[in-house]
Amino acid sequence: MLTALELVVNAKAIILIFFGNLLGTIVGAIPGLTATMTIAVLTPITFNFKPIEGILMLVGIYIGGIYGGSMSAILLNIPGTPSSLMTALDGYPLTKKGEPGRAIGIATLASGLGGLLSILVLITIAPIIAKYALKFGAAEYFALCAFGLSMVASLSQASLIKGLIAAAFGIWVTTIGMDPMIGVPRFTYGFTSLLSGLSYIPMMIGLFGVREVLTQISSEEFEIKQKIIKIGRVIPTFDDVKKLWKVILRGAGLGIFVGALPGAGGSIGAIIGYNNARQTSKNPESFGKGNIEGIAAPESANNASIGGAFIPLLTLGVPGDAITAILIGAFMIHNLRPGPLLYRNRPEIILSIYIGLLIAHIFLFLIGFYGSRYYANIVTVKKSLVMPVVLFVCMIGSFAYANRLFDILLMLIFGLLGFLMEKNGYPIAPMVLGIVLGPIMEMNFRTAIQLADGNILVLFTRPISLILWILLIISLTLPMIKKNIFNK
Amino acid sequence: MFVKYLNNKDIIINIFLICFSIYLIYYSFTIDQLQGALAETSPGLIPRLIGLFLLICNFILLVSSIKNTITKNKSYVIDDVDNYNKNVKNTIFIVSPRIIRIIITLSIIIIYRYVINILGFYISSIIFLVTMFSITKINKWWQIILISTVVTIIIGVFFKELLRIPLPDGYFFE
Repeated sequence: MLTALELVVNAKAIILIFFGNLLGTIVGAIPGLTATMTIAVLTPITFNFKPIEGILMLVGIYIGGIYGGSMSAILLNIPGTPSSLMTALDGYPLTKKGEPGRAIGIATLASGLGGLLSILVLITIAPIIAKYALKFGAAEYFALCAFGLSMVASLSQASLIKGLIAAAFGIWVTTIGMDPMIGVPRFTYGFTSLLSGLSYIPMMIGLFGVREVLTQISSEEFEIKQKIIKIGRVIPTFDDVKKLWKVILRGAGLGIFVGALPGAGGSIGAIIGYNNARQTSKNPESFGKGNIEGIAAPESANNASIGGAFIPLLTLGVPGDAITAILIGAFMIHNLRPGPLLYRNRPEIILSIYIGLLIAHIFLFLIGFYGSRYYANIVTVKKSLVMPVVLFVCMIGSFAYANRLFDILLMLIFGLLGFLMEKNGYPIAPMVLGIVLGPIMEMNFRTAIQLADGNILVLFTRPISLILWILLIISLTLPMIKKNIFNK
Repeated sequence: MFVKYLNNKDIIINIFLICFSIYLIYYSFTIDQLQGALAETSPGLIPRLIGLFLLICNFILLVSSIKNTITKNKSYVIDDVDNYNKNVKNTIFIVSPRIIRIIITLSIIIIYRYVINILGFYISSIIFLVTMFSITKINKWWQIILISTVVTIIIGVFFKELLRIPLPDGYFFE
């Protein structure tokens, strides 16, 4: 515990968490820029920090980014991030009524409390799951990865089959380079730069940074500049807090649960949280017209999903969505492998992440309550000014990762690929998870079969893996069954 | 008359991915294997399984895309060859200003990757940003040059001096 405190409670770590949080909030507030993209772009610079400092800065961006999206949703009716989609429904009408500060204050309070509660749940539940996960063998890990991929594919808004194709393509990408077990080259075609495989970070920067820039420069709203808005009082009144505490608690509970499911991130949490608040409200008809419950519920749920998402990430080493998939990459470049072994062998890292998460949420309150009136108008910045700079940082970030100019081309290829996939309805998240889980799946698949002397049934017959395969089948068939029932 | 469905974007993508998955399956058999090792653990196994999986998924998508095209009756009839040519031109070859912006952006990145070794980080980055801002229509020239220079210096100092990442100096400044 003392070592963990030393790692986090020092000036450099605290400044990095604060910087990450502020940057995440600002970036999240600018429509088109997301926390996922920022984390992907900035991961290479964490190389120069101690592992825990770099990871906590990225965690700060994650928390700030999810919260920051509410700013443009409230002020402009443009969700800064997908998870603030529902906040716009009641936040913007409240702005139109002349109370933007009140809306931002409520969003800050709900985001901060929801997030804090989720971290407390993470601290309580995660060690129990990690202890149990130590019993997992190769077959179980393979089944777990397959289950995670199927959930992400089935929950992505695009078609299930397109999600599965994207996931399979992501796994294929990881087979480029030397085979991990016997060192045979695969898909390298004589290029030495391909022998060590495709670098993870330039691929992520391409898929999230360059893709976003290409999407924005091809959009109609590229050159629009918004008007500056006067914010007013931000800190919520006692009356508002009294009205909202139950809604915030319920939203947090739903957010934690949804966040812990692979594939269901903050945006689904926010939708469920909002619908639940409307169903249980005394004034459901006022939703969509500036009801403060309609701001508190989705904001509490989307930030609570962060703690939820950290449960599978830290305990099993399996990311639940794109953003945690990139975070797992950040762990790996610092030679840290999240999972039960990290709990057993490096408990100080886990504890420092817990402490860092708590500190980041305290900063969220400070930044939201006292800073928003100063930086809220960042939402009005023209994209035509921001995007070239973002693209430039993407290129330098890709190069800086391994000092290889080849990585700029790799970033470009994946940026273009992500752009074309998005335009044709192929979701990006399953592909990212495929890229992260591909090597783990392959290693565990081959190890399990080798240990069982070629008996492929070993993948399905052990109790935990059998349960996971059944869940996988349910997750893939349920949407189809539901669709058929609704069509009838 | 399968060709008449070819103006449907989904069908073209599915056919391409089917060809790709067949190639994956073929390639997986060409990957070397250790003598006496289990066939189930060969390095070609995972690419082969991915290829098979992609083949099945794309075949299902192809069938459903063709079905959709038929039911929506939106397919293009190529009885009139002139009409067909006109349609193909309309769907593929007319390039909007937005697409031109994308093509230029991609080209600049490729050029930057090669020019940075010759001109060095600072000069090539300023040129890159000036070109990008010109595409994104920041109106005043002095603004473009000022912003490009300031951004380049900030990023350069941050990466080179603070993070100690060696950025290329170029042939002329070594």
